[in-house]
Amino acid sequence: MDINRMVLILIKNLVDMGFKPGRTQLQKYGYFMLERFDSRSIHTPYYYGPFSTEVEQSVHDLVSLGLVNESFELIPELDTVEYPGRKYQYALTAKGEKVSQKILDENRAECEKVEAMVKNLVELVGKYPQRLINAAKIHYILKSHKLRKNPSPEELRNCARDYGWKIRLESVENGIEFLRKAGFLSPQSIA
Amino acid sequence: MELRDPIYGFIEYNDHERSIIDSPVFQRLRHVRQLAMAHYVYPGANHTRFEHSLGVMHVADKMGEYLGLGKEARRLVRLAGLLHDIGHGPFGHVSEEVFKAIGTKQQSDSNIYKFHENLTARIIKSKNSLASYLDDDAERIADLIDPMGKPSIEKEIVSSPYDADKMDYLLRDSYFCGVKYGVFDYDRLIMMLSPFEKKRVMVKYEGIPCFEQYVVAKYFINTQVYRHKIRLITDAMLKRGILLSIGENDYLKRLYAYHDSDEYLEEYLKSCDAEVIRLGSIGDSNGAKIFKFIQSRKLFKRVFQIRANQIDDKLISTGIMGQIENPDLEKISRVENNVARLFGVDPDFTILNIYRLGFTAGEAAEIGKVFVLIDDIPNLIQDYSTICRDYNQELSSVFIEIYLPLELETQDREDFCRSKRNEIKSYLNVFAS
Repeated sequence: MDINRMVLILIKNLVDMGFKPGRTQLQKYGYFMLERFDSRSIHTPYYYGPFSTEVEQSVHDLVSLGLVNESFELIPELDTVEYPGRKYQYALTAKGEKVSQKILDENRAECEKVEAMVKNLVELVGKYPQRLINAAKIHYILKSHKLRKNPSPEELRNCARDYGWKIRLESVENGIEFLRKAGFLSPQSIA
Repeated sequence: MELRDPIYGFIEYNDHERSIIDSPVFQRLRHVRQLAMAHYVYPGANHTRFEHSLGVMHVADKMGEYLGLGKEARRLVRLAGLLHDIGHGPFGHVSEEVFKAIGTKQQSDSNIYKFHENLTARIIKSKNSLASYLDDDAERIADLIDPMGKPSIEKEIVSSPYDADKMDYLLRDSYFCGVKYGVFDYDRLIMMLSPFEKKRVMVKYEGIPCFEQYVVAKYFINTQVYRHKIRLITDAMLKRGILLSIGENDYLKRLYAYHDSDEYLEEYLKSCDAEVIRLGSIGDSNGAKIFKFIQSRKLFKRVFQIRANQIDDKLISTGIMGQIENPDLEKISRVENNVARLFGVDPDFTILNIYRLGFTAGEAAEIGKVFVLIDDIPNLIQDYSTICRDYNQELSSVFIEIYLPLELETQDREDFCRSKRNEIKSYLNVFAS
C-alpha cells in the first residue's frame, strides 16, 4: 500500500473512533505507522517531534483530490490582528469514504494491521495526547542517536534536550512503557 | 580576497577557502550546469554549480552573522555552504533520478533516497578527495549537511525551508534565466529570521509578508523555469538516455554503478555534463540516439498532460501520486508500451513522466516545518498565512505527462494528440490497484 492509501486509512480509523485529527496528531500516528510499515521512511527532528515530509505531503494530496476535507477553527488565544491563527482538522469526504472502502476491500490484511496498530495506540494515549508525542520523540532518539546499549531514562531525557525537546523524567519512563506496550520496543532494549 | 558576483556584487573568501575552491574536486562543479539543459529554453541559463556554491557560502555567512553565530560556527557554515553540492553528478538532479531508478530496480538500498547527501558526505570525508583540505572539519561539515541528527542553527542555515541554498538558487537562477519570477527581498528575509532556543531558526511575526513573498517567488520559478515544458522534456530524455545506455556504454555503466570505494569516487569526481552527452552518444543504440537527439535539439514532444486530481477515479489518482516516491516500473512500462503502439513509435522513445510542481523532493510539504514566533511562542506559519498554505498546496500538484518523438507541426500535433487523449487516459487505469 502506498503512503497516500495508508494515510487515508489512518484518517478513516481515527475519524471512526470519534476523533477530529489535526496536523500534529496525524504526524505522530503517521510516524508510528511508517515506522512499522515502511522501512524506507525518513523523519527529521523538528520542534514538535519527528516530522515526516511524506505524511505532510500525503495530507496535501488527499485534500487536493477531494478525499479529505480540511476545516479550521480560529485559535482565539493566539488570535492576532493581521494574521488570525487557525487550527486545522481533517475528516473524510463522501468520496473519501468510497475510495477508502475500495482500498479496504483490496488490501484487507494490510488495512487490518494499520487499524490494529491505531487502536492500540489510541488506547495507550487515552485522554493524554502528549503521551503519543513523547513516545514518538523517545522512539526517534533511540533510533537515531548513537546511545550506549540499554540507555537509562536520564540519558534519554538529556538526549531529548539536544533536540530541543523538553521531557520530564517521569514522562520519559511513561514513554518507554508506552513504546513497550505498543510493540515498538523489545522488553530488553532499555535499562 | 574577493571575487565579483552578479548577484551580491562581491563575495569574500580566505586562503583556506581558496585552496578548496582551487581543488580539482571543486573545480569540477564548473562543468555541471545548475539547471541542466534549461539553456535550451533560456539561453542565459549557462551558470554552474560552481558559482552557485560560492553564492551559498556567502549567504550562509550572512545568515550566520545575523543569527548571532560565533566566528568558528560561521567558518563552518561557510564551508558547508561551499561544499553542499559537491556530490552532484552530471546534470544534477537527473543523475539523482538515475541513481534512484537503479536503486528501485535493485530494491537493495533504502538510503538511495538520501543519495545526494550521503555521497556529498562521503566525498567530504574521503582522504583522496576533500578531507586533506579539511582536516578535522570534515566530520563536522558532513554532519551539517546531513538533514538528520540534532538540530542547530548552523544546520538550519545549510538545510531548511529557508536555507542559504534556496535563497541563492532562486536569485541566481532568475538572474541567469533573465526572468523576475524568483526575486524576493533577500536582505529583509534574513533580517526576519530569528534564532530560537539556540537550536532552531524561526520567522519573526512581522516577517510573515516577507516570507510569503519568498514562497510566491518559489512558486513562480517552479512553474516558469524548473517545470518549464522544455526543461521537463530534456531532463526526461537525459534520464532515459542514461538508463538505456547503462547496459552497453562502459563509461555510463561505471559512472552509475555506485559502490562505496575510493576507486568509484575517483571516477565519479571526473564526471561532468559534456562528458555524459559526448560519450553517451557513441554508437547506434537507442540510448545513444537519444543523446544525439539532445545534441541536435531534436526534442521529444509532449503529447499528453493531465493533473492527477483531474482524473475522475480517485483510486487511480492516488495510485499515480504513489509513483513519485515508489515507482512501479512494470506499470509505468505497460503505459509506455501502450502509448508507443498507439503512436507507432519505439517504446524506448516513449516517456511517462509523473512529477510534482515543486521541484525539490518534499519542497511543498516542508512548509509544515516553518514556525512563526508570536509572543516568543512557535506557531506553524501555515496556520497564520493563507498565502503560504495555498501556494504550497499548489506546489504539491502532481502532473502526468507523456513525451515522444512526433514530427508534426504544432497545430496538427495538438489535434492529433487530442484525438488520442481518451485512449491514453484509459491506459492510466493500471494505477488503480
